[in-house]
Amino acid sequence: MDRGLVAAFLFLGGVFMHIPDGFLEAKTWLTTAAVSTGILGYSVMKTKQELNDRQIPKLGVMAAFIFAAQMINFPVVGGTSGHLLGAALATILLGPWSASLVLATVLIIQCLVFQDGGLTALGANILNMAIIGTFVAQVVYRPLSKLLSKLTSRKWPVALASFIASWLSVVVASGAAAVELALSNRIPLEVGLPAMLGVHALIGIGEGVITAAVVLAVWQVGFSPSRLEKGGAYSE
Amino acid sequence: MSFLEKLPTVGGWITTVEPRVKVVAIFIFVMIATTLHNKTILGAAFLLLLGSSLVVGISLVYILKRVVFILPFGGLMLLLLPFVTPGDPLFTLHLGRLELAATYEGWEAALLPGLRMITAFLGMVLLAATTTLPEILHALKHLKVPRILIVLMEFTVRYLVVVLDELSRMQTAKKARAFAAGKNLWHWHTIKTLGSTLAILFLRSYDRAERVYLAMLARGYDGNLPCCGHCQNLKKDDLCWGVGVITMAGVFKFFDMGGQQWISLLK
Repeated sequence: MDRGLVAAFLFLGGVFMHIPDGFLEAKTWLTTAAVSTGILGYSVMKTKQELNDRQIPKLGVMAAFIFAAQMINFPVVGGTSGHLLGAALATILLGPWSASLVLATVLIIQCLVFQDGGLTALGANILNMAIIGTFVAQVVYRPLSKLLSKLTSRKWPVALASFIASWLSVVVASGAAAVELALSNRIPLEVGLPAMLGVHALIGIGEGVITAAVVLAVWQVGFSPSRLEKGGAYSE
Repeated sequence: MSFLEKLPTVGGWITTVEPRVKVVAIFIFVMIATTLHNKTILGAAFLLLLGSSLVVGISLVYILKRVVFILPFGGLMLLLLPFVTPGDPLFTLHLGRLELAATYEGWEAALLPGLRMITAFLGMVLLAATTTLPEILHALKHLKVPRILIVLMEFTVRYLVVVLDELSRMQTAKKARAFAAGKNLWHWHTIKTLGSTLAILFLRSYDRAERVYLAMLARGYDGNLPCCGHCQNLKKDDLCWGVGVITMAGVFKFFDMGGQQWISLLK
């Protein structure tokens, strides 16, 4: 128990899921890199179906937006601040396939330019944030917002569904990072998993609140993601 | 945004090495460095990279500034490992009622990934400081990375400046209206303002994306970006440098797997 406490305490200083080089064994990073490459390849295919191949410039601008959104600090508690991961935000606004491509792009640039996240850990980082993060957000957001909108007025279901989706996406992604570290025999799962999940359950609240605020504001303007799809107002 | 500039952070001969060679050589070096087990050899690789970084003109301040990015995860993991690995106690920390025992095994377990992390990190710094991002992307394009990802990254980099400018104008506007951020997450006014800032930023980026796309269509964009056309030839010097770096990594790996014993067997 003490060890779990210590872990949580130390992690609280400011944890992001950008795993650096050196923490993952070769078998782990090779596997995660292969899995990420495969799924990203599938995302590219799906994006081409949903969007037009020529609309890649649009995704680029959206990736720049997510990049900028990650740079905005929000206050957490007592003067400390956190920043967005953006997986759920991108998924809700752009759809899961485009979102995973956009986030992978951001992660690759962060790795190559800022050394934020390691080269060998890139596959794992993409898997955690760009793939698992967006997948969880997608699986939770759509049904939940539909279900909730049957119960109450128009505004709150969207906010609540985005909060839950982004909170879960952060927590599950951090759990995946803990599993990868455990598979590399770095930190035992029974210590790492509760610590990562515990801390990110707190960090996720910030992510959730901000995501909900953004989605709500976008929603109130009358934006709908369907405009991005093929056959939408701007598709040609 | 310094990383978007046309010129790399440092000058000198190394910036003229063909980016393709640099990318391949340093990627291989970094990958091999993260598989080393012997701490002495890792230390040697670290010193070699640190030495060459300083020689090519990367300042220590620049390196230290970059270290900040790996500290949240890497630093904390290293602090954590000695305390969570069971084994012989090394020293004990007293935090009020809490007694923390750092173990000898834990310290050993933290040192190895720590050395690997900093070595790989220096390798990536060496690449990033001597090569601009457009050069790296251009190199990756020739190395058969899917075109769609490269184009996506090129656009991201180009429009990041525009989006960040937009953001800073919005921050100025907020300041001009005497907005002060609250200290907590439950400061509703702050959250609402940040939320609407990001929402407006998204909508403006989205609109801009539409306009950019239409403008590009008008100029004959068909999904392909032409290459510069003068990048087919690799110079011999550059190739030698690349082979040298990879050989160095190979030598480290050789000794790491117990190579010196094999040499003595040959005698």
